[in-house]
Amino acid sequence: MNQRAAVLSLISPAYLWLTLTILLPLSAMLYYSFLSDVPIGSREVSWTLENYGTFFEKAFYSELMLRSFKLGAEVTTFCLLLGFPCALALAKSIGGRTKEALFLLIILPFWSNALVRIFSWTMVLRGNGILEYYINWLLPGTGPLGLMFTYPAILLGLVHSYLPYMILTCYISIDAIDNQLLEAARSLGAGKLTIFFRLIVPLALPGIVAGSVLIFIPVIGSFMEPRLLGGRNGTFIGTIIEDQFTAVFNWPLGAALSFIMMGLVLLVLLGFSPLVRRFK
Amino acid sequence: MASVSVQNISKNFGITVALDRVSYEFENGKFFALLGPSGSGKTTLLRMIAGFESPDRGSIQIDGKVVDHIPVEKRDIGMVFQNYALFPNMDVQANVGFGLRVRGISTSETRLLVGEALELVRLSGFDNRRPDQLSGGQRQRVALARAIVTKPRVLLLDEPLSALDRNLRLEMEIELKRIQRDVRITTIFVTHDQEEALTMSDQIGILNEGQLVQHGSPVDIYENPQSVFVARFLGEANLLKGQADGSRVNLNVGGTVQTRSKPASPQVICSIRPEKISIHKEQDIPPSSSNHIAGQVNEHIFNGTSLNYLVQCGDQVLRVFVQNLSGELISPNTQVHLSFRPEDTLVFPDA
Ligand SMILES: Nc1ncnc2c1ncn2[C@@H]1O[C@H](COP(=O)(O)OP(=O)(O)OP(=O)(O)O)[C@@H](O)[C@H]1O
Ligand SMILES: [Mg+2]
Repeated sequence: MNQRAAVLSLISPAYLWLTLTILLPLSAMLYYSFLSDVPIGSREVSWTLENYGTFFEKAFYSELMLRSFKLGAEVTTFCLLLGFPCALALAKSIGGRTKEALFLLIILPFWSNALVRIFSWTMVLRGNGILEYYINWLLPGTGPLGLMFTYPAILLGLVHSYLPYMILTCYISIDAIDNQLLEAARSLGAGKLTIFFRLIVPLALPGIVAGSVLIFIPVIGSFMEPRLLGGRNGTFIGTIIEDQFTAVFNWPLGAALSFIMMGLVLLVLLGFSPLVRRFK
Repeated sequence: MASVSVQNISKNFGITVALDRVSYEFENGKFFALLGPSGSGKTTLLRMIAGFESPDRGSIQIDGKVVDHIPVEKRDIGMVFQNYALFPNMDVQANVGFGLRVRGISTSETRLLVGEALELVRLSGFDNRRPDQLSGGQRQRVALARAIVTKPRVLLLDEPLSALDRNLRLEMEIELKRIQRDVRITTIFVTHDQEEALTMSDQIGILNEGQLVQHGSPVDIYENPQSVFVARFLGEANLLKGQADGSRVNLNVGGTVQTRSKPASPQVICSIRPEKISIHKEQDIPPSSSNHIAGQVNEHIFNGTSLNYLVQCGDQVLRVFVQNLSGELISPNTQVHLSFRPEDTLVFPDA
């Protein structure tokens, strides 16, 4: 009994805070998503399912949703491909001062404002920008790269923003792998590839999953990077939702689209959970 | 199965000398114990034979072939680690079968060999348990089965029993010895438990500060230690300082004794094992051919099969173990003679 009280007192502040900051605004949004219009002034407002219906009626929305999920999957994959080897080297090969310095570099992006970070990418990528200038200086005659306002530009910006999450979560779980396990595997005749796929990856799976979730979810709803780096090509479900709130002023539709997105994300995560459990 | 030859190996870690010109031949099929105090280089030597460390100087041969440039995974060794190092993401079957799968052996044959190995360590039926569902002793058996199932040329064990409680350790010592005898595998066993080394091994090598100070059979090392360090490290020894006087030694605690060999320096230390001393009441006449010194019983400890006495001789306390033949105890404060044979009185120079 006493222990339960202690546990309760430990977790209740956090959960109270989460309830207030997540559940309240979320329930307000849920409420909006069933309204026919924004309830301001003397407008006539009624209950409706129309906002949800819109998503299923117009192929435009589901295509965008698919595009966003594809973006999420691609960004997560690139982060994993770049981040995992880096985390592995940091955890198992590099030590002391060098490791500290490299860690500092990884979290450096967190120190600057996200908007500043993205705008600095536009400087680099735009026509006649820094990248184009240097590439043409190195290889004269390359001409314009035309990277700005393309899908790869969005990918570049998002991978840059989210890579640290993958490195950090993977680092933590790789670092926890006992070196003696790896030595035992070598003594049994296992080469580097076998050790990597049979031991390191399965044992680091919790970190891979945590990093992927932390990246996949926000990327699907992202609007800043697509808008600033993608320009005309930067229309995703996140930017559409943002438009509903800031430009079109159709809060009910924005709210409904958000909930559909959340539901789909949840489905995807549920789909992956047996995989995670298998390795546990 | 194979012989291992270590030739003139040295290894430094920064300014620490981990191994200093160690040479040794580990013969085919024998059980070797590497014994030594903490930090004496036992683990380093074992890891070098396995291939996890490379020597600064010297060379290692397995089966007469130099393996210095052969990586661990190609050396065909079996290794058991102190904390078992079982793969937590695999069950017992997969753990034991790991080395076989890596070697590309078929699933059906792997299952057969794993079954045999588990039978050997008496763990049949545990195939589908996860390591965290096993007790310490069972984990150790799985680790052993995993190490021997590939029929390695050498089995290397680094304090494999030290994490077990005493009873389980004694049981595992017997098991390990039985398994080693069954599969006749060259085994090198690191321990800092002298009893373990004495009871289990065919040969013992004693390391101190990176040097192999003595090696030989357990009986040989116990009976003929070549230094005070070895005498004290393996078994118990009463150490008495004295001055050489021709072929005799005048002990600082009083009395003159005849030693096994002629003292080689003026200042010497004599070493006498507690069980080689017999104890007599003052009025009993000790045999004249023996050394004897006078003392007074401080304390006696009765533990059934033997009687242990602490005897005050001058400013030193000597330990004496006698077999409980008569059931008669000599009580504290009794004046006694301690007698011991000259051949049991070892003499070393006092450095
Ligand atoms: N990787 C390393 N880096 C630096 N020093 C090391 C390293 N490995 C061992 N040493 C040093 O080398 C010496 C021998 O170490 P080793 O581990 O071989 O001792 P040991 O006999 O196995 O001791 P123990 O009984 O405590 O396990 C010690 O002084 C140790 O501090
Ligand atoms: Mg050690």
